[in-house]
Amino acid sequence: MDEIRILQSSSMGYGNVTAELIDAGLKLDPHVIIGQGTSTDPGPYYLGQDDIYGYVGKENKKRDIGLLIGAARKADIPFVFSGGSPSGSDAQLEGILRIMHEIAVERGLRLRAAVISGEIDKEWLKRKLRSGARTRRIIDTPRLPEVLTEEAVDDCKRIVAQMGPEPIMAALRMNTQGVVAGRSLDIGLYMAYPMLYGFDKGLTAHMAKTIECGALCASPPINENVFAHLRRDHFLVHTLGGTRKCTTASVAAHAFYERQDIAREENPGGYLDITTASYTQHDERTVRVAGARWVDLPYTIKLEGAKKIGYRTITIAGLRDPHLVKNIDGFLERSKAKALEKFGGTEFSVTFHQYGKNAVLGKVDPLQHVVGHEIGLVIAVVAPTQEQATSICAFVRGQLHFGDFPGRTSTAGNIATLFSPAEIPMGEAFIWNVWHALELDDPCEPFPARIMEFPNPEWI
Amino acid sequence: MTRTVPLSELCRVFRSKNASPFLTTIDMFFDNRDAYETVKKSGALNPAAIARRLGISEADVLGVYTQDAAFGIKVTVRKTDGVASGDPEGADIFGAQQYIPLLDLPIVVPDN
Repeated sequence: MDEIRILQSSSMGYGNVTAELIDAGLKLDPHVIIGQGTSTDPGPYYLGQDDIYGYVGKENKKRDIGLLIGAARKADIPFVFSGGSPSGSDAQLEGILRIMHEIAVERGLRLRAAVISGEIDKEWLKRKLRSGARTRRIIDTPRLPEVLTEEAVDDCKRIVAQMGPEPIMAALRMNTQGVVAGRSLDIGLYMAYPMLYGFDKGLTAHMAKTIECGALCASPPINENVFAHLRRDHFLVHTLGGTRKCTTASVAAHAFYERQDIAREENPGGYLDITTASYTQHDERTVRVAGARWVDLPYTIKLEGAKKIGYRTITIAGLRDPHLVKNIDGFLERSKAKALEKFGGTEFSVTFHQYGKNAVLGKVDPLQHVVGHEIGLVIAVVAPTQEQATSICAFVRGQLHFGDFPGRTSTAGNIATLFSPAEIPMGEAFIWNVWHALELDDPCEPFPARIMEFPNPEWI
Repeated sequence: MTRTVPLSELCRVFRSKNASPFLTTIDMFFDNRDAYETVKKSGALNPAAIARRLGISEADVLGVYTQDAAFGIKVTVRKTDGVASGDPEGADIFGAQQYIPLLDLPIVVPDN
């Protein structure tokens, strides 16, 4: 095989996948349709929480998955995607599998997929640590232990790992209609199919990196579908319609996106070096890319873990009184001190976000001295139980509503409470607690695939 | 003759995003090769200046990378005060507004 044609189609549920672009892509006779649907960007909450449709919601996810699977079945080509946006936990992956079940029922389809969990069993991981498996924190920060400890593992509610292309290659060999993976290395999803046919790893990884976020590699960038033609010594990438085009600058620029380093991207089993890559305008909307290299390193997977720190409750209020706006910092500090006095036996945190006064950038805001005439205040409390968080938040709100400050005339209330209910319980709160590389001899060991049929008889 | 302009005046794209929960990466794409070369050669985007504006130490500036094909410069830093995305004290989950302190960095350009 000298060319592999790939139709890219996001499975995140952001709603930028369109039937028109998919149809345009199908006309080019793709061999495979591939999408990414997991990310850590939306924060640790989504890894910890239990809502199987959490983040963008069921309808958004179902639309993207439905378009992707519909296109694959129409063209009778395999699909490969990661699902359970954003975390790719087992809980969120189950949401995607239930969506596939619904799609199969509604459309009268019989689907057969290889499913790979991205979640890491904590007992398995602790056994690995005990048997001397090497780990290291990926980012040098005091927030993380230098090497992963059993204690840090136990502190996490869930741990996922970015599987590389190898488990997905194994799943593709299982002769199903496609592969659904939990948390995955984004580029691994796009690398697996070409690697089955022995395409150059560096070139394949660069192609994958270029199309992983769809037409974000185009000008102007947007997360719509894109299309790639991977050949033995180069690849072509282009948009599928509209006025957007892939240009040499837009494709080269995509190497910047969400990455620490432009030139060297560390991945399981090696790093991608694109300093040797060249970009040529092939036609108006197409760029030809060649020359990237893959350099082998010991095989590692990236572990991501979320630790529960309690429950959060927030209150939103507007502050407009000129004396209060002028004296706000001291006033807030006094309210917090009163809460600490009142709820002294409980371990909790109170954080104030003063929108209109350095809430976004804090001490590094260049306009430190500018104060507007009103402040949007968010009171955020994290405490061991939801009830405690709400009680403390309500207490602080009461202090703000009726507390004293220099020049106060507003003896019937100091703040404009936005909603009834004033307190908004937000459920469990999490922080990132594990962000470590784990060395593995077998890239597939923690990622076995299982075959699932849809409709799933157990869910009917 | 030369004049001094804010860095943002020379950029087509000026953005920031997490590069993991613990790092912020700031990307600048310039209007044209001249603007890109001017900034690259000016040395204005040096670790000391970046660190001062972002309230971090020079050691927290992990890299300033340039790419000629895209007229682009990338700056990657540890997050201010070590506050990771999602930490209770944080206020920018995606790190999407952390480029602001660099917008006004003064750049000396030829006056023509």
